[in-house]
Amino acid sequence: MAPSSSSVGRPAARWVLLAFLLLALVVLLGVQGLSTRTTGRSATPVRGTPGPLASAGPVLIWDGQRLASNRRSSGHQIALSFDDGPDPRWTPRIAATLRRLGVPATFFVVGSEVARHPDVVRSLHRQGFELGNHTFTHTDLAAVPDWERSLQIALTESSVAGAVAVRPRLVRPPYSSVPSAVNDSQERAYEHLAQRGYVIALSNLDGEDWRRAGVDSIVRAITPRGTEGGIVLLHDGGGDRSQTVAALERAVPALQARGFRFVTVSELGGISSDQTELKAEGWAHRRGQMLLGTLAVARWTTYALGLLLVVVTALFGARVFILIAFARRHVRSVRRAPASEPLAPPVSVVVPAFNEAVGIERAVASLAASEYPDFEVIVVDDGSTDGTASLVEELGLPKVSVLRQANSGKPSALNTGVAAARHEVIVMVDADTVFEAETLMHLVQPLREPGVGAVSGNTKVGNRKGLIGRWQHIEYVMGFNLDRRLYDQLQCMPTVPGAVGAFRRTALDDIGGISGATLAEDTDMTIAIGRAGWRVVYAEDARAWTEAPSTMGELWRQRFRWSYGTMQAVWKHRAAFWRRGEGRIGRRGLPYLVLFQIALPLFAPVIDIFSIYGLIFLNPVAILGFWIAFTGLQLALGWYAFRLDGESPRALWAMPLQQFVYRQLMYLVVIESLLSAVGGTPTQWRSIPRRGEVEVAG
Amino acid sequence: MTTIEHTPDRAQPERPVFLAENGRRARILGIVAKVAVLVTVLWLAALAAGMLGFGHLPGTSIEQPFNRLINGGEDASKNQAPSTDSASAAVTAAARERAVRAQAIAARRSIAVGTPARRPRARRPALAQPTQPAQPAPGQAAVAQQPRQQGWTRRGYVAPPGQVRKAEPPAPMPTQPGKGLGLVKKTTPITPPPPPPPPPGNGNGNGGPKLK
Repeated sequence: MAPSSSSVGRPAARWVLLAFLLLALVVLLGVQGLSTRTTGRSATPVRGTPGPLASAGPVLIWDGQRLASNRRSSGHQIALSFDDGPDPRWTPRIAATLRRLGVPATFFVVGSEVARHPDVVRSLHRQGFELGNHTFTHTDLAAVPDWERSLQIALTESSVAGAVAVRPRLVRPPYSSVPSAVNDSQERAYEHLAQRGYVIALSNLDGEDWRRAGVDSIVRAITPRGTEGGIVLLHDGGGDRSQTVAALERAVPALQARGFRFVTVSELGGISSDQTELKAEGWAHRRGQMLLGTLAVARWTTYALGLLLVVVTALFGARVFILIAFARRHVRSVRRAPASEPLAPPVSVVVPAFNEAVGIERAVASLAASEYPDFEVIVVDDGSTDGTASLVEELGLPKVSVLRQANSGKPSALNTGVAAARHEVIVMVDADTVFEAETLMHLVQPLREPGVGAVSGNTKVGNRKGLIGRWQHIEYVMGFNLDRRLYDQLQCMPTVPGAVGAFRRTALDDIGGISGATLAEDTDMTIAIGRAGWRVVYAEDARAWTEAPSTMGELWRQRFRWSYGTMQAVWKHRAAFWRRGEGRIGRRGLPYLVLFQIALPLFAPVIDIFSIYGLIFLNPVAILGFWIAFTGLQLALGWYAFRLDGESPRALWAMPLQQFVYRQLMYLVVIESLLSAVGGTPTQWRSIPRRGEVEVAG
Repeated sequence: MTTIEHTPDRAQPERPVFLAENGRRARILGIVAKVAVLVTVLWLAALAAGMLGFGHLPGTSIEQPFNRLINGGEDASKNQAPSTDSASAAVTAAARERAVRAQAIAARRSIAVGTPARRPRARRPALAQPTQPAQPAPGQAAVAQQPRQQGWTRRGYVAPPGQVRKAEPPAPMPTQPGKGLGLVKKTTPITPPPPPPPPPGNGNGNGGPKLK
């Protein structure tokens, strides 16, 4: 149809901005995913033969040429160490137990957990416990390249620096245990760190409390057999640590009674504490705080998106349930309707046309061939430049007349046609739409009820050969056989499609004709009729075949008009929400439109985002299961709609593919529409070229 | 078939819904977009800054009993039981070679980025390669000022750095072009002599003169 007078160019800046924000979101989710992905539970490596550090002690430094250690220093000293924390539940309990028992300890913290619970680390530091580095995501340091190893250590260091202004020099490699268990690749990894000034702290007495084998087992494991102590390895994070707490309660007094003295790991290694916990002041501290801050932003944004995902999933589930329930109810009510004599009042068919030369002849011919006793067809040529009106005139069909007017838009053309119509019942048809012979008869039957002001027909896609055509075919079948049945049942039909709809002239008079204030004049007009107190119903047998866009660009233009036009119509009629007597459309139809045609497509991208996030960072099997369930539910819904419409469900094979291109296009359309609405951008009717590929199936 | 010419009434075209009367809303939207970009850029910058590591840590001083072990073989042999002094017995020849290579590479990197050699080499006659120095942190001055760690003497100081000004430029280290670890060529003396080391406690630690 005719473009409006004002138009603007494509706002490319919006897409640059959107792409940038999307990229930032990807980074944010990547950071969140990487900072929460712990690579595995604690475990003690097992090896058959003693490794290269079999005779070394548990504390290793780089002496300039190799890893060196002090075995002799243990003596009657025991250093308690705890890995995998901080844990908001167990770390404070373990710390409280240690304080009550009056023994020091060293906590080797996981950086990502520090970022999540910096307050726990602050508490540990305040209480005087020593802090060590246990990598950022509990990574096996021997299994990662040098850069990742350095990053793991640096990020943890930054996190601790941000939390307590301290840079821990002690490093406890995850999956490490006693020195004899260190293999060659681990030795190389430890050397890499030690060369940079870190102190590698292994252990002598592995409590293996992560196995949760019982308190007795833990106590046995951390109790030295002889008189020489060492470093005890326990865990304060990674799961239920109640056995660890209980084991401490028993073991510490018993060991003290045997004459063992409890020290920190650094003290046992002969290193002063101010060397193992270097001060991080000024920029170093602020940098750490920045890391914690940015990770907190990533965490909370991810949580917010997660909540949104729950809302979207709930909305989607609710929609499926509501649609099926009301569609079944509609089907039953139609079946139960008593048979009666066909209604056949005189009908005026109005066909607005602007440059519709490709399909106008076929459309008008199909109308003229309608099996209906008394009707007229008025083609309103809205200033076409392609000879549309002449083509109709050359057909020389009886009952068909042509009105020519200067180009002024579709609403104006419709008003012209309505004004020229001679009959009480007016049918509006798009110029690219082909009617079946019985369509007119089916369409006017609901007007038997005096309260019905308008009737929606059943629009079907006539060009469904390509993938885009199939997708739209699926969408049309589902939309017309599920949504419109629901609207009918709730008496809140928001749209009688421009392709096929019947109106009582009185209803059109009540609303003052067709408005040109929105791009979706059909939705605007239907809501107005509903507000005027008329019922709008759905006639499923009144089929009309229309030509759907066959390229993505055309689809974009059409869907933008629909989406933006719907937003305009909802906004224009927002008063219906609170006005008395307009509740059906105002409090049922409009909220449904807002929720399921604006909000759901707007927020549905979180499903895609989290699917990708989950595949990378969570359990891919579970995510795949969720995706299959989601698609399966849609397929079931589609199958039901196809069954109601008498269509072959074979086209549904294309439905899973909708998830990858089609749905994303719809997101962008809604975003573009919303931005245009908020910015008050002048918009134009974006005409779609016709190809005349409509085929009437069956 | 009839054809009628019609003139539509254009008297009062309806105003499109959402159409802004002026550019105010678009400007506000633009400001919101700019703020969003700014916040995002700040977040990204803060993330990048926060993720940067701290580089090498300052040297470690193992006072008891590591210092003896590391800084003096004689002391170590005197004071510690031979079987428990170090992991050297367990370190294979291959591991040693690897360590030496890594050390040399690290030293080269250190010099390439202008990192001064802070920690004196351990006195190990059998493996007298230059060691990878580590930077002392503020407050760690005492660690490297132990008289036994005589790195400053080889650099021409008559007293530990930070106490006395350098007497004269250090003598060039023996070089053999095309051989060695690539370290020697870069350790030629600097002219003019470096400025006096900062006084102790000024935040620069007790590092020796820069090599380049």
